[in-house]
Amino acid sequence: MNQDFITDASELALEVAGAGLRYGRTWALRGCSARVPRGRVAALVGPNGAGKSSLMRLAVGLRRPDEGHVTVFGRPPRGANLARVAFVAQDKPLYPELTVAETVKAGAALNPHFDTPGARRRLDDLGIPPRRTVRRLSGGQRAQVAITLAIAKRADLLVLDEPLANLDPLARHEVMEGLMAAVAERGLTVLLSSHVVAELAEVCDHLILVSRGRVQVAGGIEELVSAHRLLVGPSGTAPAGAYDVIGSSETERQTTLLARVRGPIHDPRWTTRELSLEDMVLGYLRAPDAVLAPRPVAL
Amino acid sequence: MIEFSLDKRSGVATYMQIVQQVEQAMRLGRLGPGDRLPTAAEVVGRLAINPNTVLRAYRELESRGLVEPRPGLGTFVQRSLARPRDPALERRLASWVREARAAGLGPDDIRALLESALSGGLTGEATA
Amino acid sequence: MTWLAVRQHRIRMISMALVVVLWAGFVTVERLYPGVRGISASLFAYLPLVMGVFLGAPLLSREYERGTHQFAWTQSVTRGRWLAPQVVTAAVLALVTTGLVVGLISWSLSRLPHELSGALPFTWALFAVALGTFWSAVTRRTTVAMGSSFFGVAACQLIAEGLRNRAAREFGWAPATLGAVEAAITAGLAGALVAGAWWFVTRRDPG
Repeated sequence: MNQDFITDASELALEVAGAGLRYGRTWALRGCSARVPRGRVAALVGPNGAGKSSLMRLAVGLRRPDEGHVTVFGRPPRGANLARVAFVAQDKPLYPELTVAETVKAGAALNPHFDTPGARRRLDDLGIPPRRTVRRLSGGQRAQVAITLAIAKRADLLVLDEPLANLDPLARHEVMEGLMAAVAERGLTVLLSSHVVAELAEVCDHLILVSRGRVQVAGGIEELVSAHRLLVGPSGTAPAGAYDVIGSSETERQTTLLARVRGPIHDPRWTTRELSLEDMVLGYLRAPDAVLAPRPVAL
Repeated sequence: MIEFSLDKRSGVATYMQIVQQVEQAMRLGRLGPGDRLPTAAEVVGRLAINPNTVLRAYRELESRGLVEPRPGLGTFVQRSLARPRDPALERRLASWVREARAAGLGPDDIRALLESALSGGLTGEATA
Repeated sequence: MTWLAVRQHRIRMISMALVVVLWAGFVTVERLYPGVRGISASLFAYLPLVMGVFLGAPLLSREYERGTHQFAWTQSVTRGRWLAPQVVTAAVLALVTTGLVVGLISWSLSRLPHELSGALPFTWALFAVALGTFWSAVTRRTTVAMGSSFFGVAACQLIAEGLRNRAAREFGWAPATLGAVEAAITAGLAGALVAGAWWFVTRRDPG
């Protein structure tokens, strides 16, 4: 797996190395390591309460890690480096009393490189009335305003916490279209979280799977999916070959294995099938002890 | 300009669907030499997919020698896959389809017959 | 940034304008009916309470409660740079309101009482706003911060009165000296409380 990680830190949009985060005495994250190379669209997935939002808070500098370290383009997300990361929190917080136009003005006031004409054009294309107060926008419009502001910040890494939650299917599609167009035009790196894996398959090329406060799987989606197979064969036997079993289920007649294969499986009694991203993620979530993530780098 | 559409249930990888749609448009003459393909931003602004998927499809088309990227300008179709049209052939096919319909065959039956003929399964001789 | 801070204070500016109008009403009545003269000055003690509760207490807790701190603190400016115009806007608003109210009262009374003379009304206003801001940063809840500010300012006023009487009795300080010392203490406390709020915002992580 390691060869697809680019080791030069400047080529990493985000690096999380052995990071932990505590709320009072409870650890929300422990020993997390993950890397997102520049230009990727990374999915941060996992069950609710697994630590996705906590990991994002670390990435955007709202919290500092209680152990390990987190860097964005090689530096901690603080001070001048704040300009390189844009964040949209889960509830899309904006000032409800401001109008859309005033919200854009606020973005310009708080960011030296803010793209005001671009933001206005995007909102105009989306048909969001500039004089309406944020309070009176629909959920989809509000999400679009929040994401527009994040894009107009001209950051290099965009961190979006559940950008599609609470949106209807049309609004979801529109949000994703706009986001992907921005990625294509600006070469942005994106980290977006979701607890629905299916909606990310077309959009993302990188995966960080978080469960129970740890990074369980991290890497390029294509490499990950192509390294995993579903093996089906007679019960009570195991196929010959180099592979690691992630999970297994057994009936009277047959055994089904979810495995990471390291070479061909040459066993006539066993059939191998390819997996979808969703099936692979589900397999790992059912087997919380199976971990496939970069080890923390000794510093 | 060509517009892509995706079939998410087809099981065909997204980039391959784009490749196939470009090839088909070229065969039918809807895309010819010099035509520009939509930019990645234009495609993803409509389909909501990862831009790298589009770039990968274009690289595949480039490796097949069908398109050529011109830096700063876009990706352009390089050659033609469209055959010169043969009105006589098209006329005979149209009349054959009319006959098949008249004989009570549906579109799927016609397609099956055509597939079978293409794979050499139809010899035209009656089997006992 | 200053624009945003001022825009966010719009409702509070209107509230303070109403406070000034209220005192203008008191003073007009006093001018028309000299028998009730002194009400506007005796009610002045409530002004710092109003400032602590309405200008100081919501300053940060409103951000935490609505989650907008996640917006404000992930833009390109540091939390300290974001906080400064917020505090300055609230302070300027408090000073202007105090100035206008003191001006109105002096139109009614030829000789102002101790707590209305010199720098004292202004340092008390700053102290009240600072106390409200401090509780706002610590509690992160507007209602709790408002309650804490109200009782905090009221308690400090009582303590100040006690100390003032004692200093006059035991040290024989002249009113002018007393006023100067009290102003220095309240201003110093205001500075310390703002520094405390700043520490909470910049050093302590938001939940």
